[in-house]
Amino acid sequence: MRAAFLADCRRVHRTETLPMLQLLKLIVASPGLKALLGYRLGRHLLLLQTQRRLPLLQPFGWLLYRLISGYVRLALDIRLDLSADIGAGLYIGHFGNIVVRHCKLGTHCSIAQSVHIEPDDAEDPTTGPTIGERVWIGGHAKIIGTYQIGDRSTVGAGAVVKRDIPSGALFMGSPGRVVMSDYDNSDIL
Amino acid sequence: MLHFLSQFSADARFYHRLKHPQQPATLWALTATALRSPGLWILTFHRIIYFSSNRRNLRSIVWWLARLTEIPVHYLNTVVGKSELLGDCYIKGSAYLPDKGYLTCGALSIGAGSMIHDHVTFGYAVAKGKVGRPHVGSDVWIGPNCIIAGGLEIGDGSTLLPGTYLTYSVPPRSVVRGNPGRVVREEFDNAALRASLNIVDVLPEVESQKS
Repeated sequence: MRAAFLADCRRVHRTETLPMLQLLKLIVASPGLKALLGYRLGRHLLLLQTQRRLPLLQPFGWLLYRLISGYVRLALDIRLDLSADIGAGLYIGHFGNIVVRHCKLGTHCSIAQSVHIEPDDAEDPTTGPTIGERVWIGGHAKIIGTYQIGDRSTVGAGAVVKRDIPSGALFMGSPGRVVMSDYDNSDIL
Repeated sequence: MLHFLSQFSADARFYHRLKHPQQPATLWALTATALRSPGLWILTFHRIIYFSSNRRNLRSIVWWLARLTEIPVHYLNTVVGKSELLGDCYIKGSAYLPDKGYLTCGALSIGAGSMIHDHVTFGYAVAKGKVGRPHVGSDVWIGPNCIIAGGLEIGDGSTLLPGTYLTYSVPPRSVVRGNPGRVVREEFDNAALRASLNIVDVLPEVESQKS
């Protein structure tokens, strides 16, 4: 989890070396990193719980998790639920109205403000979308339901995803459609 | 300082006229409105941040005051208003910013009398080439969940219906809707929309287009 969080920090700072003071500055300045700090801590505590390690330290860890995630939820409105499986190196562009739960996100993804990635409660409340590696998701995008999004694809701002997206595609609009099937998102990621 | 206070009083009058059109604008009523509308807090805090970041003058006590209050005020905008406004966004006169917050604003200028509702994003760079920051004209009505991407200009008196995703400049007095957004009507007078805080999904009168 420590390596995953450092990968998240590198998405913000974009350098190889990251001294401790620089890391603290980044966490204070970036709302997304605060949310990810809480999320990674919670996932690590879940791992400790299943492995039955450090039983005396776990209550303090959960208290810290509650404090961080409560602050992030109330002040910044970023809800990264522990049921989501987020890969290393997530970048959260802005804050406000972000809901990520019961889904699988690959490594090196980007999300932004008002993004909803969650299961459709009316159909299947526990299985959400599965998103591949290096996917760029624009602001206000809604991915609600059991859809598959391929690696290196791009979901445009304001898109409403109602179907599976193949790898490397550019998906835009509401109702959404694949605009380009071979789109390189490496310079916006 | 005097300019700031007169601007604040004008803003409070603007909000009071929107929220309580019948009540007279007494000092007590204006204070109550100002305390009850977080949108006005966002606007006022943003004016402090704008002054402190753009009118830098080391000899002025007022600038130092603004510079010292900038940090807590920026924090309050984030936590209370859930909003993020870049410091060099110039708001020309009294404009309505959302009481619900959730405004991500990278616009370069916002005209007087504009109304901007919650969950609105300005200046979103997307899909290569749309890098830039928009200018919003005066008397513009922008509904909730709108995205304005790239360096474009929204003409005076335009209307953006809820859920619009706009990527190109629109002429004055036009109505835009949809994702991707397109102009659905021209020469539309949005004075009735701007008179209240009600949100409309469809345009109010169709008969005006027929006649």
